[in-house]
Amino acid sequence: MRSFFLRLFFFLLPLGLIAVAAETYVRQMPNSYRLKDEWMRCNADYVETIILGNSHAYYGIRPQDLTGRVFNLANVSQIASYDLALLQHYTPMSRLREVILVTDNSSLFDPPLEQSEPNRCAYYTIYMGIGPHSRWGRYGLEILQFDGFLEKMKAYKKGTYAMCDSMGWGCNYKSDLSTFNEENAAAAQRAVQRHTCQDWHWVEENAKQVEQIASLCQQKGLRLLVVQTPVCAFYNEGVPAQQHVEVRQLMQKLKKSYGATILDYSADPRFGGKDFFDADHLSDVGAIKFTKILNQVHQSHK
Amino acid sequence: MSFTSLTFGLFLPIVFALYWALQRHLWWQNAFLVVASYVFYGWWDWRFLALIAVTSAASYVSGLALEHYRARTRLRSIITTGNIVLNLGILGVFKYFNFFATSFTDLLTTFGLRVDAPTLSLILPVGISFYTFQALSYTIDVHRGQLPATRDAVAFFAYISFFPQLVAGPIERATHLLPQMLRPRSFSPNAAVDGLRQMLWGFCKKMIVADTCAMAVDIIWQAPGEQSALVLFVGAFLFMMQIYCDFSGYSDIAVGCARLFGIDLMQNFRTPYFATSLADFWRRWHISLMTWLRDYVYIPLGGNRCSRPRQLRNTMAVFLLSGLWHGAAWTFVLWGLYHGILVSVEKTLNNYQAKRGAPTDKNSEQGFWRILGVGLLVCLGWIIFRADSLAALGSYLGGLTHLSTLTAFSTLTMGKTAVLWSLALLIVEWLGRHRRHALDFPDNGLLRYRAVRWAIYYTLLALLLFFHGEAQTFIYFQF
Repeated sequence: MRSFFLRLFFFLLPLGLIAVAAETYVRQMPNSYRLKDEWMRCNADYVETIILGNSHAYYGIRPQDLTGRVFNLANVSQIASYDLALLQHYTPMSRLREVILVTDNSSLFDPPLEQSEPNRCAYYTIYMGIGPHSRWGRYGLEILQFDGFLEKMKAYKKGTYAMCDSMGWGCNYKSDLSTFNEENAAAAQRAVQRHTCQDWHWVEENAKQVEQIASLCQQKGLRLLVVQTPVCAFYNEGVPAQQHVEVRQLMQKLKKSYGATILDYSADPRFGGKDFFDADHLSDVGAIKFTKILNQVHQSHK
Repeated sequence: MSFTSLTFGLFLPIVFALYWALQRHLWWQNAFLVVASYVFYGWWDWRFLALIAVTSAASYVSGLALEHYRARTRLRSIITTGNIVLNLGILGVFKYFNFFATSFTDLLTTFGLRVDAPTLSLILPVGISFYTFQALSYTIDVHRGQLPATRDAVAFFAYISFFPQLVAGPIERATHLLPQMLRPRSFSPNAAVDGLRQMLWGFCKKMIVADTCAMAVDIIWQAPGEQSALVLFVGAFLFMMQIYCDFSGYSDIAVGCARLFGIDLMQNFRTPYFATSLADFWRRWHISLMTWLRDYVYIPLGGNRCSRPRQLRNTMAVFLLSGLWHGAAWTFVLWGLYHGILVSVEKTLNNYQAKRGAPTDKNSEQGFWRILGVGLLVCLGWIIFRADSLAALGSYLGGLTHLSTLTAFSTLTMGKTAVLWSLALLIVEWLGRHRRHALDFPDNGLLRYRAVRWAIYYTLLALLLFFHGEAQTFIYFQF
């Protein structure tokens, strides 16, 4: 038995060392989750407006163009359960007055993160300490989500890894780097396919989480702006009609039951061309333009 | 709990350590094995545990009753029949009730009669086909006097529920596995290392080849009517590789895992795609099921020791049951029928050639063409097996007959990686065809050096990490 364990130990030792080195290396890499967590820990008590949502919010709303102390707490593929967890995590946020939540044809129909992007569960667990998973479980190590780990390393090497600026805004969707052509229906179709609902059970769960956010805002006297960011026309028209209906129904319920302000810019004709980085994301130029438009509503209630 | 999950990665070392810590206490070691196996099985759905416990208890009690009433032949027959009816009844209700009910309804509808047949909303317990047959093996062997009934309930429950082979085989025989549960096991470092090697090979077959093939196969099968004949042919080949690597990969992991616990399980595959005849193929594919059907169906029906028509009848019975065992669908029945007919025809031709005194020695060139011929026939069978319905089967076969598109290489846009992995696997398996598994290295040449072997293991682990396909459930979990 001893000889077996010794052989096994020496065989696994190099693998273990490589795994430890890889995990250590990847944790040293700057990432938006750690940056946002560190900022919130220092400034939670000063922030007046936080932005929640997925990549549409992450890339689409630039805090610097909103009046007051605003921070973008959105992240790529962030689903409503994590939006809710973030809202509850950084206490006391005594000066918080407003929550801007992006909920649209993609986020409402997203599957659980454990299914679609388990590596992100690890990011929330490791760098922010939020979510249903323990640090001592499978989401306590990035290397255990090996595919996501590999993708992250590749993106980092290529320089395409999603980073953000000091206020949490995703700043690498530069308009001059985009090759997107609004007239290209095929590109929009690929985005639509990605966001076409595969399981309607997810909608119920996501909608429930969004309502919980609305309820929490109502309880705390926070103003809730529920926003749909601009998307290109082909994308908007390509999304299945039933998904549009579901989103509208949820918006109505949020407005009626929780007093939320609903802002739908998804078909806003003021956006086109270089405003888009791809079919459903704003570029840096588009984000600045959109945020300034949003600021008018944001300011009107200050 | 699947072998390819991280949970199993934690489960196995813990169970291994505790199991060998109890080495000196056989009863406690078996009890622990039962608990661990039930945890493993219950991880899917704890409700399944009651069923396997009932099956185990019924067979155990039947064995004791058979032993007790040794002299009473008629009563023994009743007990054995009762146990068979109970076990097959449970299997029938969970697996076949809805199939037969809806088929009966469809039959009546063709005669213009409208009947609403009742159907049951039952989840098919994972592995039920496997452990049911394993339990039956015990009862029948005790009845035949080939095995004494055991009084050790814990060892018996361990025999039925032994987790490495519980959900997808090999279907062990009581005469082979139960004695191993009844005697003390000693740890063998060489066996354990070989077990780990076999597990590694199994993981490579499953996660690299099978899962990569699965991705292409699913796409091709979604809309076969829109694919060229070449793509459909490649799709059939890839499914042939997918099902082999998936199932034999599982068996390798199961057998290798069992060796860690000092248990030898039977080999379930012996490079079946290098078979030189269909009969040879069925001696190499899912060996545990086919030998079970041979010993408990074919031979009791008369086997080869009866008239030619009866032999053919017995052969057809075995293959139809084999098809039905796989699932409650007409495509499985058709698949069984297909192989039954082919094997029967082959037997008849062999007998005819033997009577004519035709030469039986086969040179290597003939061997190659035979292997290719058998491969093509088996591949066609897998198309029947894979089809969701008879209509889908018709669509796929219809597409294959559009020979004008056979040379449309430009349409072969998917599955290239899977084809390359499949060919690489076939080469490796050919080179290792006389060994138990591809990583069962000989003690000569370069491979006798540990550094070389370890380099191969590290390379395989790296390939697993970087080139695994999208995770798929083991195919045979559904049977």
